[in-house]
Amino acid sequence: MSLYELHHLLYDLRRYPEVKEEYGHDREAVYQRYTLSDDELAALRADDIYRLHKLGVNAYLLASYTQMLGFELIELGDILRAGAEVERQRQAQKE
Amino acid sequence: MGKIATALATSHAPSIFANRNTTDDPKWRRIHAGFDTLRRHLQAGQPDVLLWIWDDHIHNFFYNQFPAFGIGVASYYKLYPEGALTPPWESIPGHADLGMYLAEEGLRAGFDWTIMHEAAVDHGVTVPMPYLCPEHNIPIVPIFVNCLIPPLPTPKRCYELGQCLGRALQRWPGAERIGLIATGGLSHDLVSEKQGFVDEDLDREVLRLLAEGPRAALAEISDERMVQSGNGTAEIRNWIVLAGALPEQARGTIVAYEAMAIIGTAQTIFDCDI
Repeated sequence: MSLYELHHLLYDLRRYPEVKEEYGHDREAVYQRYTLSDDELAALRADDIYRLHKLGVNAYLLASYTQMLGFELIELGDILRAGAEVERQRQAQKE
Repeated sequence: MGKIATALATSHAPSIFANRNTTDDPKWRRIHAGFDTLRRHLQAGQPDVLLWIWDDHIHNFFYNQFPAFGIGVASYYKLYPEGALTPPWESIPGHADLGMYLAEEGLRAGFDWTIMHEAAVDHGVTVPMPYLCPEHNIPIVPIFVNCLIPPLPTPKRCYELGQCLGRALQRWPGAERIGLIATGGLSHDLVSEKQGFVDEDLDREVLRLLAEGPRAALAEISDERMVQSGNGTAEIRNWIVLAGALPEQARGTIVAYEAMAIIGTAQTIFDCDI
């Protein structure tokens, strides 16, 4: 159910101005109303788009969320490719 | 008897709106010119009602319940606010009688779709409509196709829905001239490492089948092929529904195709009044 809850948060942020407004000044209060995993919370708190993408967030909901955060859609491909490269290097170092 | 008088299909990407004033890029100039062609084509067809086939972008529906297919039966549709993308219109008129007739015909034919007495239109309508029908005064019957939350209806089933709609429209007792519009696609992959990859091969194959036939071959495009192409390529399903609904004698013409930064942007018209 966790990814569903994460999707619910992103959907509510997009649909309800009051949720978006509250998120702007008190994210933790909003997080408490959803059952989110530690990984999901960490990704949200860090504005880690790559991690949210790897957690399986729906592309359209993630697109809306990142635009809410101030990102332009056109730059997201490069951001995610950079995130993937960092992960590949991290994996290579472990090996 | 209902008459399918005209048809067209077009992309509905927000980038179209964002580049509405872009004149220094020849690709966008061709797309803008393409919309002029689409608008003239629609006006020449003189439709009294538009069957508008598109995918809800997780506005009317959410993961709690997301139908494979939906049909609007309302007398008007509000606009879902998407910031600057949303025109300053109060609503768009709906053709409730035709919507309910098609809803019932669909059920009789075995399409157990969601019947919507209230719905909002999003950029699947509001990006193309200012180009096609700036007066936004032609009533619509919205047909929703799930293209965003897997599992999705199969391309084959989408084509069959189109065939069902086409047959039902031929039996509609009203005198309206009916326009078919499908929007979405073509290939794109959003918010991913692949964003920016446009599958021109698939896009051009879809357009070729629409223009040259056989249109039924669109039903054989696999879901796997679309997924491989991109997470948004599934919107080709909307074009496949339209393809199924077209009269047998309808002839397609590719108006424009451009591989843009994120999405394969395409426009096609169909002569149905033959």
